[in-house]
Amino acid sequence: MFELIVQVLVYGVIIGAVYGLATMGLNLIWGVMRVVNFTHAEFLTLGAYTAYWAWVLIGLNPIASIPLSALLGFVIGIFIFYIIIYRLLFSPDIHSTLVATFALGVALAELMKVLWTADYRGVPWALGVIKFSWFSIPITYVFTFISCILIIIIVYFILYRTYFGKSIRAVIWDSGAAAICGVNVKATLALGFALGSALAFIGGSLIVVYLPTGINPYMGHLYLLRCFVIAVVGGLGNPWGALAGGLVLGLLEQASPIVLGYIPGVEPLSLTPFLSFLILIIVLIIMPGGILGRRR
Amino acid sequence: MSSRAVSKTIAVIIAVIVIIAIAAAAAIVVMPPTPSPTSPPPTPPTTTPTTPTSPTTPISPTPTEKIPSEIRIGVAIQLSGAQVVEGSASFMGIKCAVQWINDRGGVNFKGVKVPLKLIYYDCESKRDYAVKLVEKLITEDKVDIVIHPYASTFVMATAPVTEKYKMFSINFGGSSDALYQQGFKYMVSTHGFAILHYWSTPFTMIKEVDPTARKVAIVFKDDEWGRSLGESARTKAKSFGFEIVYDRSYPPDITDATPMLREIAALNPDILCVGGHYKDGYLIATQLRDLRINIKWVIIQVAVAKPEFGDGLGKWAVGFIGETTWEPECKWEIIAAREGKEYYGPTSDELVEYYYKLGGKGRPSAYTGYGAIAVLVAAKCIEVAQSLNSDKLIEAAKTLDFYCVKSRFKVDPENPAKQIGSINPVVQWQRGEGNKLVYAVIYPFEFATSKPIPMPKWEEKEGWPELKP
Repeated sequence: MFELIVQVLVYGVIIGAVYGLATMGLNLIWGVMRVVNFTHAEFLTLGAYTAYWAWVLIGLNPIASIPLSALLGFVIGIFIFYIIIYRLLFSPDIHSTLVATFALGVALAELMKVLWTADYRGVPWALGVIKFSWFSIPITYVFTFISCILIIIIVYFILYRTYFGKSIRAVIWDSGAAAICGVNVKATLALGFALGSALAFIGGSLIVVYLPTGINPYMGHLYLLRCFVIAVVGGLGNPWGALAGGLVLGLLEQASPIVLGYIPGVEPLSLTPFLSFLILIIVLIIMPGGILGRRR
Repeated sequence: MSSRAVSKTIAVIIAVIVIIAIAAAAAIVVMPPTPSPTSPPPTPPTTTPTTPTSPTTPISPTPTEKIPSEIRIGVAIQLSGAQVVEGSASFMGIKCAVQWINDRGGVNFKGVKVPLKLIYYDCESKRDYAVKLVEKLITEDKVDIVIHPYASTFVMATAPVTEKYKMFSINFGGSSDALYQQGFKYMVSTHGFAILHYWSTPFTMIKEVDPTARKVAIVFKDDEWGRSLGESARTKAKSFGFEIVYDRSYPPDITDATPMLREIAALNPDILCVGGHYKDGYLIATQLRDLRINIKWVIIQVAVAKPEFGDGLGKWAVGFIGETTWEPECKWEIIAAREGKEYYGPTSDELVEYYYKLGGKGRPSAYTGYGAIAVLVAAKCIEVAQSLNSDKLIEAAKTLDFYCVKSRFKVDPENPAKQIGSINPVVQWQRGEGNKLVYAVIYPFEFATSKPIPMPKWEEKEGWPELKP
């Protein structure tokens, strides 16, 4: 039993870190501009395709493709912000950004289908395993985990040690007061959206390591639901909440099939999403702001 | 009205005109053109003697029925769209079989050789369009027999049309068990079904080569196809005397199978049966590798039988077992001779020869075998019925029991939509000479290209060089 618990913890933390990173962008965008970005699923997918094409065309592995993903995500984020988001941000109808990001997501998914077909693709990147006495971890998973930690440290540095980061945090807390203090709110919003988009792209690139043949135009939706659960459980608007939520979901996904397996007549893997959403509801009732949510 | 209001009105009018123009243009582009029947160039009957014999007793001929100058076989199939790969490959098999029969003069009909004429349309992988085309084949093109498109969902849509017109039809590519539960009276199926046909041959093979194998773990995708495979694995495992130590489904959109695989590893099974589609099968194979879970026999339906499986996994694919429906190496004439049954139609070697002669590229896939058997069964039914009457053809189909290029054909006499004779060969990825990755047929032993091997341990594979496809 001890062996099983260790395996669940190790794999749960590794996959949880990737989930957390994939959700950080969603959380950041919500925090900065109160926009539920439904295009997040397609940003993840585009990140996965970036990793795939980097592998196919120039032989870059998913980790080495992170800078490329980040750059693409940042540029696309800036473009989308100025073309669509900013125009709707101050619309009297609060649902307009929600509908617009949803529509953009559908359009992007269909565009990806036209460009790359709906075929399932994958990156067969393997580097062997680190073998312990009773279990093994693929080296690619370890590298992915280390990359997640490094990116999280970089995001921390950006948010807490740069003027831009301070501006973002100021806008998250009170955009009106930030503007009075001389913060260029429009530029901060744009950069915040671009940073969120870049994080989603990076998350998509890293997911590829765990999904050997699941890259297709609609794959993002598998993760979008998880991202919403993570974001709400961790605390909407707080990037660190995303990490906490990611770890909770990662551990839950690893542990629940084993625990549920003891219940007769239950299909454990199929019941895991139910458990995730049950936890979401419970957390919302007990801590409406999430685990690390902002409390006023 | 202010100038701003006027310009707004003009803008709205322009926008409406543009939208109407785009909609009209889209309608013209999207609307499928009225299809014109296509038929391959007729091949003049040759005097080559017919090689296959037809010992099956013909049903009493209809005296009033005239001998036609040609027998018209209608097909609406996926030659473009999402299922173009499967549809085109199946259609190659159909064309090869028609050509093979016509090269031998045609079908024996009341003492005369009557050539087959293929009338076909591209249904563009659209079910609604396939339904319309099948109706057109029956009402306008007056075909004598209809071959349904590839895939269960398409057959489910087109079969009601053939049934409405009491048209004798053949389902070659629908393998959902629901198909024979619909009460179709004029449809025969040539393809093996999930519940009936899967797992028998790999279990037989394992019983023969490894009598000590006892414990079986079963995992299957939680969709209609996966559940059928799961039910089939459960039933067959019990009938083979195996002990089922794990029997669980996994969600269709599975992204991580490691918790399930860890549980299975703890139970130490001898055989792991995975029932699903390519994506999930491949995921499970890679995660077995990543977790270094060693199981002696791993059977993954249907991922292993796809070339992409070997291409993606390389040396790690070695040892994985799957079932296929046809491979060019299959020589069912050997089995037919052993069992004293009739063999009808081209051999696999001949089919491959026709495949390349008719422009086929690459290695013929299982779908080519699917298509070929449809035509062969149609021809055999006509020869036995000596009639093109659907009632007589279906009666003839019920009496048939023969081998052809894609194993055995025998339907349930009470339900001809239920194929009961089909046999699936077993394949395995192996390490060949010169460090090549080989896709081998390992069962039936009579035409196996290699002997089955238990899955080499992952630690052993680590030391191998990368294998060349």
